[in-house]
Amino acid sequence: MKIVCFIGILMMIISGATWAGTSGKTAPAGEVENILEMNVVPFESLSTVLPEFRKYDTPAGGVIIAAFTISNNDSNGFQISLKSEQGGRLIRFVDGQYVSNVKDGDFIYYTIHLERGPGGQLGGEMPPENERMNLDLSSEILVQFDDQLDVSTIEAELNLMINTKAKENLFKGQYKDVITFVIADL
Amino acid sequence: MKYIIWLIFSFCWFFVPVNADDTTINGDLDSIININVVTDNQLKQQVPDIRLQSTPPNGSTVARIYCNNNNYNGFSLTFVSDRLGRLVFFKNNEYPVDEKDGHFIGYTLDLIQGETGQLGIDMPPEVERKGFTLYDPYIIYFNDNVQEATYDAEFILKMHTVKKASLFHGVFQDTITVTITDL
Repeated sequence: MKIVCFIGILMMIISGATWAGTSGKTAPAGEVENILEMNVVPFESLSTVLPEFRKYDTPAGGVIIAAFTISNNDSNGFQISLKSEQGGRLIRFVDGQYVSNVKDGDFIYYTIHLERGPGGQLGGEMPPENERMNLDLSSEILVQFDDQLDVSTIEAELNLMINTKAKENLFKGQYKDVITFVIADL
Repeated sequence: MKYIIWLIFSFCWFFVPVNADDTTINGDLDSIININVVTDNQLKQQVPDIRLQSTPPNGSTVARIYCNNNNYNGFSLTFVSDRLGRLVFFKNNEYPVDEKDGHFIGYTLDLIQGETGQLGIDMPPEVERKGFTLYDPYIIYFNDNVQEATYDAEFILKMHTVKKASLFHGVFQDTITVTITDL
């Protein structure tokens, strides 16, 4: 009889334990889509600010030639590649094309600064100066924006500044290059 | 002798009804207390991008909760968040170790009564069950006007988020544990 009672009590305990689920979990989740955008606004200011770059250096800090806005929300940041069509030189441009046989008087080297503009929100800090100042575009350059990333970048304005040194032996005429920017997630 | 036996028998006969006792009928009712939390995440459908859009005015359903309880004092529901009441960036099955502002978005919750089951108690006042946060565990008491046991009573958990433009892209997640307790 004692054994029967014991089994009965045991059954009650077991059935009670199985039945009494007193907590449960739910896992709400939401998503954020990827943004990766860049808009470039070219400026014509070099001719205005420095009408004769044969004789004069650009002012300290350079002359703005483009402003661009960037939006990106990758948690690792982004990078911008800069590639020059003419190997980091302004080349004399005649009748809608570059001169075919480039002499020393047909080009002038330049360097680039990448600076933070006033608008928008940059999600992290600007890269160190040695990674974004005096950039020589004789080959493609990558600038990475991945320092102290706290939030996403929303329409952050960056300015591209050009620097040239006076070069007396330039031929007269118009000088040109095309710089291509590509933004990519890291 | 026969007369004596007859007297004794008669005595017993008359006294048998007098000796009958009252019958007490006892029945025990076991305690019932259980909960079933069913994830019903409508946030992704209703708000495809929580960076750009807020939840609808009435919130987005994130769970359905089914409760059984027969305590005559009622019960309570305790809500505990794994992530301090925020949806947190979740990548490669883990949360960020070094959490930045772009890694999370806060939320508030509403608990409303569903359409199914039987709630033997009045719903708590709205002030006690709407717009609450889970920075700390939050308890809702169901003890107003207890009339009967609660059986498979359905509750709907609604979430509110306000768009946050600075979020990184990816999945944002939390885990909420709901516990039922007798009062």
